[in-house]
Amino acid sequence: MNKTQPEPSSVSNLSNDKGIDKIDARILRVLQRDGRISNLKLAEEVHLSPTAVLERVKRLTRENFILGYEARLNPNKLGASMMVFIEVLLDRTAPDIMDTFKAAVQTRPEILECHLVAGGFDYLIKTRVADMAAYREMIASVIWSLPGVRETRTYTVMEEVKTTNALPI
Amino acid sequence: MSSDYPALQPAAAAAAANDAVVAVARARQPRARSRLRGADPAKAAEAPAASAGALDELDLRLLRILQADGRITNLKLAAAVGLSSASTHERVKRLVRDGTILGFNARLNPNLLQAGLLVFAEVRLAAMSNAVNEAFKAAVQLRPEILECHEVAGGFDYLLKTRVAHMGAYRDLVAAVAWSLPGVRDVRTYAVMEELKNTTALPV
Repeated sequence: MNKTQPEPSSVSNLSNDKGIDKIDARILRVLQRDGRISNLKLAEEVHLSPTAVLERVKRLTRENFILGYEARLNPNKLGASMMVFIEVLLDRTAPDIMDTFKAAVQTRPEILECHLVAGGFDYLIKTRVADMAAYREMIASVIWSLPGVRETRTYTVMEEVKTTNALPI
Repeated sequence: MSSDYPALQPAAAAAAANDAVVAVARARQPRARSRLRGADPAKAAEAPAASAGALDELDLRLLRILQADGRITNLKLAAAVGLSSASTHERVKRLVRDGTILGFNARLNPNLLQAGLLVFAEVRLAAMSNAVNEAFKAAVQLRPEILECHEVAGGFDYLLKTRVAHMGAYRDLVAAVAWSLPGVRDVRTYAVMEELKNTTALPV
């Protein structure tokens, strides 16, 4: 379990800017850590009545602070233990080429992330695959077959030093 | 494992969209999906629960649903996979116990929480020494703005994924984590202009 423990000072400083109060921030922090916590336990953790907590969670959901809940799965048990990043350079950044690219990355579940970046290359892609053969197959059928791709650079992850999707709150 | 909160409409919609994407991908990729081939949900329901370590088609369906909606009630989950609620509960418990499910978490909106700017950084060390590595890794763990840090094989040493409010905050982060360490040679910054795709869901 990844537990991110923000410094207490950052909470009081930032929570006002975000349009949420300290209790909201605590609720969000707990839910980031344990998305299936019961309302009763959540109420205990933030020292509020269950009714008040339920109301706050509903509001945070309605106002889109909470986008959803997800199970965090173990990639090593699901044939996705190898993480590989790809940098992609295009010949030129033309709208049609970029639209084609955007559509192509949506089709493969091994591609977890794809970002258009400013800097030395155009796209950064994060993939999880079973092994190098699976990676080779994926990049050949999804990326190399696209028009306008000039170069791809592959970076295999040797060690995941830190992986969380918990936001600093 | 009870959920007191109403089902999330956006999550359900996202789940449906995700399913469509997965279905397309599966159709294109027969080889890697071979373990799922011919798995008929109704037939699988009659089959005994998976033996230790092996996941059957029902487990995979449970995982897929829980990835999309981690707060689904046991009752709804049971209905979705066509099992009794007792055996659904038992299976989920087993998947947590054997480490297939690592945890459940809320997915929060970075744009509303002072984390709207996504920035990647490539870090190169002057020399790979254990002392420098350990110092760098320790610094990375301390900062909640650093969501991911990976040691990679290739043209640089570490790839960092950070979420910050603005470029000033990113600058402070780099100053604290990288520039203050003696062994860091350079940091290349790549600000994300558009997130074309961003999911944590594994291909199951």
